[in-house]
Amino acid sequence: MTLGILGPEVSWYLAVAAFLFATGALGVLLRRSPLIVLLSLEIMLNGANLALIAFARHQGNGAGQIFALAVMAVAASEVVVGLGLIVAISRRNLDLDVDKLRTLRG
Amino acid sequence: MFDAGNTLVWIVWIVAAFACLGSGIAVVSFTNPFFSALALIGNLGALAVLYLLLSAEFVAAAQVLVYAGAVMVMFLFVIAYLGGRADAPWAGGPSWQQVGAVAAAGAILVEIVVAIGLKAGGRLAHQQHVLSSFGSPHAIGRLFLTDHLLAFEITSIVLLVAAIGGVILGSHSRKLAGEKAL
Amino acid sequence: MTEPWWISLIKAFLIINLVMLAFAYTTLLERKLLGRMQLRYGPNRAGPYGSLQPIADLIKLIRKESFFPSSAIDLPYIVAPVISMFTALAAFSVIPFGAGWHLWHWHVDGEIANVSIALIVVFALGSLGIYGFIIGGWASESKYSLLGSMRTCAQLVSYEVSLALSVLGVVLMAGSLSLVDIVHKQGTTIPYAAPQVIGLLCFFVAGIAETNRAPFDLPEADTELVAGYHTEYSGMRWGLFQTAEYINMITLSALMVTLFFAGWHGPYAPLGPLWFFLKLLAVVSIFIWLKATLPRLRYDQLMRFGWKVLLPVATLNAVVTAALVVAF
Repeated sequence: MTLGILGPEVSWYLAVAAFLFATGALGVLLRRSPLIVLLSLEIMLNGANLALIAFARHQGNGAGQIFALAVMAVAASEVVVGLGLIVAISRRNLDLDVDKLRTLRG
Repeated sequence: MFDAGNTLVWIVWIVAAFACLGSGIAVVSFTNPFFSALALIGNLGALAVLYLLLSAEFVAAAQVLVYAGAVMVMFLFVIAYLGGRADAPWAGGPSWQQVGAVAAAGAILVEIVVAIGLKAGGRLAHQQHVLSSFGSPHAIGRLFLTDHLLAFEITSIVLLVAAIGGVILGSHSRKLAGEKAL
Repeated sequence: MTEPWWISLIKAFLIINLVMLAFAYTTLLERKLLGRMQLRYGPNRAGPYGSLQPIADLIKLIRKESFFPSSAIDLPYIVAPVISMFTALAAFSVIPFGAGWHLWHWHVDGEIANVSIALIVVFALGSLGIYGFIIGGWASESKYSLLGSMRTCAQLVSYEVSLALSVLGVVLMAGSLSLVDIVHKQGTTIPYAAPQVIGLLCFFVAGIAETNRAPFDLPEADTELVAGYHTEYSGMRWGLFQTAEYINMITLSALMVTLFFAGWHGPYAPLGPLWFFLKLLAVVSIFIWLKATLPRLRYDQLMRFGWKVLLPVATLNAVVTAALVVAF
């Protein structure tokens, strides 16, 4: 028993995804605290995920959902490493400011 | 497309989409990183609702369980641990960097819309009809173990590497104490 | 034939009220059982055999002054216990209580919502419940609260992994994530407590840690960190946190009955909800028995046990079950 899509068409979801991606990009470019930069990065990844799922529904192909799950796993891993870095930086009493953390040596 | 049978779905979609966009903007504009993280949790919840509307129930559940339930807990931990010192983005009038950032983000948005609209405009109107088991765990599991086995295995390796990296980054560096003693 | 939406609403209302009633009398049951195990009567003043004690407690809590620390951040401080309560109660929407009945000419399902991913929904709600503790601890703006909530959440997140892995064996044997299907399968084959003994034990131990019950209740011990995340809460706000904790325990017991002890199936009469309730009572009594008997674990012992013992055992159980399911 096959179903058509209920509610809006796929293009509406893509619009939301594009907005999310742009908002995340704005956050990454605008904010100085690395924690909030990481959060904005998460928003970008979620925007991409939404686009993947929307296209999966559009094509009736489950590969988009598989890829979205892989992106979720990679995002989780990246958050782990990013937060570990931030905690290590703050342990050395450096300013949590991406404008100031410009060189490799503390 | 819009008829009485779909009204409830449309209402849910509108609420979820605006919650998504609103919480996205909230993440970027709050001063206190704890509130930004809470806004991101709201964003993830709204996205899970959107995934459910797109017949992706397993991904929606995984989103809430993994992303909103574990990754954000980790974020909140670190934010609560490090304290809420953050910058106020719009303080002291817009500097050239901020104007440039807004312009760049706007440009990205326009570029995405134009690129996808030009390339796939007509074809986006028709959706495939799918089985009711489209996003079920059964379908996803079968795909993971047949067509996309490589993606599955590589994902597990990435997670393993991240776990090891997290343990190493988090361990109190004894070498650092040794260097200081020199 | 699916049930109409208004029957689902009535069922939801009924089940929420029954769960709250069950919570109230679980507190009485706990105090009575603890008392008897400690060779004393429990509360027996308020009403015959202390049966009005929960009402007395409720009135006391409501009348108590809910002070509000002036440095606490308003909205998160108030909303935190609500989050814990909500997620604890919402998990009951997918637990099957019976086989489904026919009332007049409508069909009434045995559960409020039959979703194909019911088990993941329960775990997702459990993960969301952690936010109540983090936000409550942080919004109290007090060092004890923050440290206590950090410890609690680290413990909860650690044992959540083992909890989810320990039910993989059940899912493999039933071939479905839907709780309704799992209970049906157990009705036709065998309650999964028998083949999945190790899974049951892992689930039980991880569940005790997940619900902050003794012997894993370090965050609430009086001698540690004052009172953890609910240091700065008093009156009915604290009451909400306690309610959330007890209802979490009831939810976990209900889940254990559903996954391992064949839910609402019973030997003689087809009285689904009654058998479910009796099994639930037995499991809750075992939780209370452990509280009376075992001493508390230290925090590092707790974390070491969770990661180095429970997780490998649960993983091994899942792997062995998978191998056996494929082989036979």
